[in-house]
Amino acid sequence: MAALAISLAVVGCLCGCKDTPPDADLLTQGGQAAAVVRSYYEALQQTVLDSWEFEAAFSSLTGVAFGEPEQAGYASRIAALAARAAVAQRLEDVYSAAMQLRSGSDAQATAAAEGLGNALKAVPKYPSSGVDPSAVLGQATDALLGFLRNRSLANSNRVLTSLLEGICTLFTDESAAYQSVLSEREQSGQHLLEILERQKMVTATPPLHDLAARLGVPWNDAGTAQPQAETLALALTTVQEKRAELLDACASTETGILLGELAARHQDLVAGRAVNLDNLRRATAAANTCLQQRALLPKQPND
Amino acid sequence: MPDCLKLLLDQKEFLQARLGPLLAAAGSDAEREALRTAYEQARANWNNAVDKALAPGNATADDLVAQLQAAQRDIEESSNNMADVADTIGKITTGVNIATELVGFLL
Repeated sequence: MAALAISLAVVGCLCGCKDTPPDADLLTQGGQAAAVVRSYYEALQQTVLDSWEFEAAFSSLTGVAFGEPEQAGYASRIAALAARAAVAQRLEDVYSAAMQLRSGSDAQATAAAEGLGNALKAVPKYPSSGVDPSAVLGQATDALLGFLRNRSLANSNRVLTSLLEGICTLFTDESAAYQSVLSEREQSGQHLLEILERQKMVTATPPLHDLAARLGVPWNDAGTAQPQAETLALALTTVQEKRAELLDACASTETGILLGELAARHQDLVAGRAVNLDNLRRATAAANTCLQQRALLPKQPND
Repeated sequence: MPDCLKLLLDQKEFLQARLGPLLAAAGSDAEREALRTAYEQARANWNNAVDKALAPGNATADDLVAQLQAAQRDIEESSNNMADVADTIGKITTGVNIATELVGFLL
């Protein structure tokens, strides 16, 4: 259905439509939003890498099999997420190219358009989504390339709108899988930490050092009995897991909102409505903040 | 079907959290092997569900989800009583088998 809608939009546009080209504010904000989407997918790749590491260690410690099929599963999941990050990167390039078009230079615009086309055509079907990216994104790509090559920024807006709708659909359809991947990492890290501590393979005190540091005082290992320190450290680790879950959920929600907002603002332009970027700016800033704060949290169970 | 993904992840993580103590409490190599096999299957169920398209809910799938929820409650109650490890392993195996059937049905 999404592919059909995009096809109709493309055909409609090819038949000749008079759109308003995006202004510099929308192009700037669109580029920033695309950068946040790319960061989101890059963080998800790191999440899968963490899970891979945790699961391998857990399996080794418990005698559970962890063979080629499991490893290949993690590798293919990372590749699928990398392809989505590449699409977001190319989207950034297109916004940048459109800015170049406004200022009269088109060499970068053509290169960016071709890069986006290649990236969109290479997106594999991730996962737990019923959406086939090639069906959703592929058809509009060629039209977008043509318009950008011809320096037709106004016509490009209509096709770009369709592409953004497709990317938004993909994100929405896959968001439950993203959330599950994020949640798995948090829980697996906690369970691995518990088993490492039970087997006396790690010391429990680093979270206590962190806590003391946040209070502005040094931690004194000699001042607490070891069982108490372990209990306290595990409790703090649980709090940290909840903090990470909240930030992950925030990043996912706000990234979904910003994609919807970005598509909606381009739709406003197509429909001749006034474009208000306030919500897009807010969602972009919020998603970015959550991603940055999440990246600052120590990675369990190594830190 | 987000609920299905959550249910399968809950089962995998529940078993992961308790695998160490259960292995220690198991009385024989056969019991330990059954526990490891159950965890491996639960892990595979979640991996498969994340990596494949899930069909929209329907009556059969909903029934299996309800069975899985009931089985998970059984496992949780049983695993609180570590005295009867054999009973716990039996309930874990039942729950994981229902999850496997659910994933097989949806994929």
